Amino acid sequence: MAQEYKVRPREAALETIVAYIAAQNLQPGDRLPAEREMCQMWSLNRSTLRSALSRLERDGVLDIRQGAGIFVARPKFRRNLQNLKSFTEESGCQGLRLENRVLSLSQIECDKHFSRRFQVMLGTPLWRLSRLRIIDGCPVAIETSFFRRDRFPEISRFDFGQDSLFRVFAVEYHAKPVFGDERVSITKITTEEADLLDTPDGSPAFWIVSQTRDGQGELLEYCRTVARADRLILTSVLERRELGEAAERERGHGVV
Amino acid sequence: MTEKSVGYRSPLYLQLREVIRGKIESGEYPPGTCIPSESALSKIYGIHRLSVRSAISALEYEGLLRSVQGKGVFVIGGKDERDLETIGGFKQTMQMLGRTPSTKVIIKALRPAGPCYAQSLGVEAEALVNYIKRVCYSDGDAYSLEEIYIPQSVIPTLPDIDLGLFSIYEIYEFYGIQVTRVDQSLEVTQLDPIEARLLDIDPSSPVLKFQSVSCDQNGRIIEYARTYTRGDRCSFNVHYSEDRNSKRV
Repeated sequence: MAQEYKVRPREAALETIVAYIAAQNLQPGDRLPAEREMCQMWSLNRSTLRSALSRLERDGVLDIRQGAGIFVARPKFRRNLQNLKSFTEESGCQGLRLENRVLSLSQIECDKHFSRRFQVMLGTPLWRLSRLRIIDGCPVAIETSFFRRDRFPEISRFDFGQDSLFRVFAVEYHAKPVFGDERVSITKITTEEADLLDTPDGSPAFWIVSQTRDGQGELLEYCRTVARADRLILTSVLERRELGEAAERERGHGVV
Repeated sequence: MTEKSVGYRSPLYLQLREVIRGKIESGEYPPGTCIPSESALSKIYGIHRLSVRSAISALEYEGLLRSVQGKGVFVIGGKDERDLETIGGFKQTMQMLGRTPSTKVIIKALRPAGPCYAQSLGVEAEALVNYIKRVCYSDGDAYSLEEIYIPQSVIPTLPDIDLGLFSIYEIYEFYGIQVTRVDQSLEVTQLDPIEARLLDIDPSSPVLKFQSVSCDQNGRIIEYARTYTRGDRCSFNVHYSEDRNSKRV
């Protein structure tokens, strides 16, 4: 005995608009019909339609330009967190133009935190490389990577404005990235970052901390990324594989 | 005494055990639902309540039934081995040590898929879909709001199953559905005032929006889910490795 749920008008309007965009195969930059027309087409009242449109704008699906109209928004850049493809490779795959700007490359020493992560003595020399990732002319993320100087001496001879860090690791230093893990949460953009990322101070952003290891499990790179939430979708694929090992499986819920 | 040797001369509790077992196997008592109460069974078959209890205990011992205080006796379903490891995927993590998890179901009903979910779920717009909306808590503090859409054809008995007792994955397992692939994505967004209130946050606070589309072993889409998570209470972890790029047999 199931109750049937009556879909709220705003939800229904939202779903209708999304389905319309797909059915009409509207592309980013394409214009939706005028509000009045949409109300007529779908028998909606103005306020219900407006509410649905504003929600879609907030979700990054639509671009509402006062006086000009309602347009399908540019899609966010999809970054698969699960493979070892660099930003460079991935943006190439999506037909987007990637630029890197090296913000700084400096030498620091391991503090307690890095000492523990890299499993080395306090004071061990590290490189700190900070880069701005720009996709199709729009700054998207600031990535700060930390890696050992003794493992990667003279890395300053490479131009990370052009070259991928992992490629340099693998080819020039025979340090192949094999495993890793990333932790994603939310943060707010600082004033300094706001300038670089061309977005308002205090805007929400992804905070991603990643650790990449070689085949022996040694930490090659520790990286902290601040990424614009309005320009990025992080993706992953979960697959089941028979390995004879029992595993607890829950919907995106792991408990610590 | 085995099933085969139970006949009309056997103790009544054993006969009832076989009757219930038969109804479980035939699907008359589907997995995840509860069987008639002790007093109802006692009346139907005209046997003593103690005998009914013995029959039920025997099946609980075998793992076919599970008794839940105050709720009834539920059918468990097949004994599936959890021998599959999952690779990859986001795992929402939060500190659960010493804390009590709970969920509150806000909506659990059938609705037409509509043009938008028809696409995501691979069903007709008129097809009925189970819609579940619930809030997850840790020690009474809300941390996420979930909306889950499962086509009626995937689990026809879902409306009768109490989600407070079984997780949706357990229910999939009961029905021999193996979640084989989940495509997931993570974005940042904001909630509407009503939903923000469910999560006990200000509407201007950013939340992590997690979406997933799950497929079974036959490639059939079984579920689309959307979870809004408080950024201050959780994070998402993902593991990656090089060989994920290669095709697996």
